[in-house]
Amino acid sequence: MAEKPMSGGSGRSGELQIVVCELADEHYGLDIAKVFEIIRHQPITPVPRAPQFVKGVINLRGRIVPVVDLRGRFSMPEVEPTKETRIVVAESSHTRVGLIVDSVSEVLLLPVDAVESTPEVAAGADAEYLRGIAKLGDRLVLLLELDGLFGLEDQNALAGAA
Amino acid sequence: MQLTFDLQPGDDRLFTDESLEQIERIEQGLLVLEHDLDSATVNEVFRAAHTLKGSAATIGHRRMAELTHAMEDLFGAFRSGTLVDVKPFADVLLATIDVLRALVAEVQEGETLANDPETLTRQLRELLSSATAAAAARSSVGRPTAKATPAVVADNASHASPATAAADADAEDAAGQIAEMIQEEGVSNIAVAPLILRLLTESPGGYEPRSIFVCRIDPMSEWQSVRLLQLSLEAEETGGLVASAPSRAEIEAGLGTTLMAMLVRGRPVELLELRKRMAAIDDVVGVEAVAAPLGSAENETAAAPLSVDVYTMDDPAPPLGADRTDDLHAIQPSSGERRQADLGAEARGLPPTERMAVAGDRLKAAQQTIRIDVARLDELMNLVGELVVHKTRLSSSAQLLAVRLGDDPLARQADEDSQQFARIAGQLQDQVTGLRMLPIETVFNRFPRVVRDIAARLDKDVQLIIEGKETELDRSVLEEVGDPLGHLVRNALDHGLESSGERQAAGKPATGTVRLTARHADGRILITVEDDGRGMNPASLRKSVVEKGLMTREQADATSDTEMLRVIFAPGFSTAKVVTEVSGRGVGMDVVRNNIERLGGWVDVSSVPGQGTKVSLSLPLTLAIIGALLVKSGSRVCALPLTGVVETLRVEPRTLSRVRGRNVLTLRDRVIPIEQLECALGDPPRPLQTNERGFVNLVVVRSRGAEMALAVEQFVGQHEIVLKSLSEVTGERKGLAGATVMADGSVGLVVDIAALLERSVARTGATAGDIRAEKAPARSRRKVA
Repeated sequence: MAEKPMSGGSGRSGELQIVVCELADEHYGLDIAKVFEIIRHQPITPVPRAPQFVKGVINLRGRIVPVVDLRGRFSMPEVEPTKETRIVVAESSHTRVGLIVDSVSEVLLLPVDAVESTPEVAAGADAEYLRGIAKLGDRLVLLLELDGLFGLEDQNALAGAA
Repeated sequence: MQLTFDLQPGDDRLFTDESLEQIERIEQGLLVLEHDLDSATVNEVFRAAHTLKGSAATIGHRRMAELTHAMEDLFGAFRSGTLVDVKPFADVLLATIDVLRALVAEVQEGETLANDPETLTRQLRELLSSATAAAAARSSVGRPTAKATPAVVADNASHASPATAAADADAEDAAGQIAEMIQEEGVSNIAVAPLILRLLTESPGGYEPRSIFVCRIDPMSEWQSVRLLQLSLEAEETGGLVASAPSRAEIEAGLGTTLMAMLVRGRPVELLELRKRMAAIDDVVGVEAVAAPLGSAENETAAAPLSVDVYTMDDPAPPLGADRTDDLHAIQPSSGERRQADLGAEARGLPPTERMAVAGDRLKAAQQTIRIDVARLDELMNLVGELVVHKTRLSSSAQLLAVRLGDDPLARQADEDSQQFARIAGQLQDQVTGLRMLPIETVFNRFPRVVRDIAARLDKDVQLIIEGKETELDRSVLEEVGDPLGHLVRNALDHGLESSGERQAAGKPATGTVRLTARHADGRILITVEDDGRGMNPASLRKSVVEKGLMTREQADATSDTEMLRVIFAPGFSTAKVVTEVSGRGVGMDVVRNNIERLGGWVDVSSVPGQGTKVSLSLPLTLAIIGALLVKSGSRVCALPLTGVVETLRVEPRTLSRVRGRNVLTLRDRVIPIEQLECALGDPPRPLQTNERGFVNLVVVRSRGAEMALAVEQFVGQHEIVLKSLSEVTGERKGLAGATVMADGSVGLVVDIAALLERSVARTGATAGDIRAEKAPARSRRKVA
């Protein structure tokens, strides 16, 4: 999906504003325009027959929102929530969804040309959720494509979750 | 084809909503008029058509304006009594209704949807002229015929011609402009410009403000010259009439025309009063007023509208483009007063009964209403639900504070405040819930047309009686109830009612009756669909279920007559063959029952052979707030809607038996399979859990005759819950009806009992009936409240 346009809908043209989250010492970025809010970890109501990475549903001011463990989604070992754990509430094309991350570190303003297309090595089966990679000094930030994060199959699973 | 209309963004919804309302009014009216030419209804459809025409013209929807104009003219003929029977026109008028709906839809869609409204317009016009001609020929009294009208207008125009020659170009321009302004509003005043020109040239302006009034008289009026005289008398009474065209002399000489222009002097308030009085005159279908240009020196800025306000008899407020009323507001302090003034003027000169009708209409119009997007209401409901949750949390915090601080002023204050807050939140919840309530009329109103069309197709004579259409219920239920009801009504017509011949042979009135009623009962809404047709015969139903293999002969014989009727709701019962053999009924009745039960309702049927069939639906008033039994199961709280809960039990595990590897409960001779709730929902199977005292907590649930007992960890209590629609976030999930927010802010899952039972039966392939043979002995158990 490297050929996807980089005009994300955030910030001025030529710049991209992203929310940087930590996940097992890796940095992931989400377009700030897609992020509704960031909340502390809270009890999640599990939903029967949900896929492994869908932790359940939460109440977000009267709205029922499904919550996904990004570690689970990326096949990383799951961990107990800590004081740093956050739920990033974001909107994919159809669904509002909460993403559990280890922590949220900062909001960054990136020049669009700092974003490179996903290298071949990373472009495995999961590449559709990667929008690109930004290099910031010695840090690498993987930009997430929310719509690709849940393929058609997963999208249904998510729908089932709540 | 891309269509564009003269609308502000967002106004298209307003236009669509208002127009559809008028169209529905006409449709309802037509269905009444078809049988009874009731003058109040004639007036109503006429006004509705007039309003519709005005709106269409305002946004520049020419095809729609023309069609509605033709329709209005036809209604005008009924109004004036020229035509007296709607029946021959009913089909084409109803077809017009359908085309009008398509024309309205064009505004939102921006593309051509209506199929050839022009032909229909022509058809309406031809129908009108031939019918009027026929009516005129029949009439023994000499009266002005429709044909005379164009001649008069032509005469009028030619009369104006010499003046045109004499007029300076300025006056001509001004007249043209004014005529154009009026035409935009009133669509069809072709001959306005010459009349205005004549006025302006005959009475050149000074520096005093004057207004031009253009009045239109119903073309079908038999008293055109009388009306013209009345108009000019009204204008004279103000003392400000400068000139009129046609002139007083012409009118007194017996000139009949449908158009009259007057130049009137006066203060704006007087002119507004005059406009109202003119509009109140019988047969006057439109009064428009614009400011006349000042003396010729200033007439560059002429024709600034004083208040170009189409007078629609139906609605004192202008149809669209509300900014035109600004001047009116400046003069008239409140629209409410204005409406009352209108009532007085319009009702004047009417017989008392009609005056009452006008008053009623006006009161209806005077209800101050605004339109709200449904999504906003839902959001409001959402927020109120959240507020109520926090209300509970706040009061428990206050109590906690009281415990911590003891008898402390702060704690008392907190307690008082939280109670006050709770009261207000409760009232707010009631109000918002009330906002979502709509009369069932919105669903019932479609049936007169449906019945008419089906009856015509089946060649049956049917009257539809509707009772209790003002009964209110929540939007959520309303949306769902239309289809099942439609099914029942169609079934009643198709299978319930006999042909006229059959009916007469059976000594019944030839006209069959379908009765549709709604009323509130026990906090629910009860809807019935009743026909006086042939009814259903339990004996032939028995025969048929055995033939269909749905029951054995023994089972069928053991079933009571009342129970037997319910077989029409069984899946697999309804096939065309059975329907014809078994005195009708059956098509999709199981679907009807499914849909109603899904809404937490139930269906019942009663029938007397030869006398008719009655299907009753009982539905909750709202789906948004439901009573539910809260239970803890598999580390979460689940809500079981009370409509499906039979009872709760606490039993010792040793009293349960196992049949085919499943735990079963024997309850008053019924054998009920047991399953852990979370497992039934889809968690991995696990053995039956007992509580700390060694009991198993069971909830017996039932849907569509199937029962099961759900084992839960703990009973939490019975609560009203706000059911959250999950569709915006998610799809549907079998076994779950949705979710709800609990008092502590966490999320509880709402169980779809019907789906759960369906799944359970499908999974095990066993029903209670199958297990019954291997009945286990009954033991002691305790029932909990």
